[in-house]
Amino acid sequence: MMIATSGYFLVSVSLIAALYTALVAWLNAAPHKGKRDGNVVPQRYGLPYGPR
Amino acid sequence: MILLGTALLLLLGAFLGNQYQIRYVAEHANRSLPFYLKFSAVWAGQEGSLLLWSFLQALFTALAVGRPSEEVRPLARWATVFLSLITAFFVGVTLFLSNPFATLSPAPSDGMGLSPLLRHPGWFSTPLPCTWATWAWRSPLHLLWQHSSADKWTSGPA
Repeated sequence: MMIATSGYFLVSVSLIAALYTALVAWLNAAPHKGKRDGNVVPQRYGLPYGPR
Repeated sequence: MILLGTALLLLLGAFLGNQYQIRYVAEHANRSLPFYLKFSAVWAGQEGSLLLWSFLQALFTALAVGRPSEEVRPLARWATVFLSLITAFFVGVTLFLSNPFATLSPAPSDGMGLSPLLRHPGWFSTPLPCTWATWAWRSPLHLLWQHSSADKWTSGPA
């Protein structure tokens, strides 16, 4: 019973770890949009307007 | 990867220790099964096969995107996303639909034994793990290799 419980636990944690890895990688891979350094419009787009 | 490898070792330990309260062990082994055949019993059924597949997928994903070269670094993050989701899919199927650690109550005193097909050395050793290893190896590495070679094609002559 100990093996079954441990195995079930390990597979469950593996699922959470895989989903967490995917989420963190997604957040790192996705382009950063929106607020950065206090500016709503990112400066790299070179837009002449927008809040400073 | 480490967690799934440990789970796989636990399942092997259950076979070696004749833990017949685990349904998968009771369905694919018995007390008269030789020691070396208990290794092949780990992937004798769907549940163990999926656990092995999940482990290989996680292993080769870690190898492919763990330390990406500069050439493939831009793709490595997205590759991590999709390969982790594929791994999560396999682990989810293993956990919710085909759990190798499901138990029986009351536990039988002996198991049902291994399929006669898997007793042949050629069948128990070569096809199944090699097929899965090839599949798991190919999927992440081919993705990254394809990306780098595509860059060379489109960049034109040096």
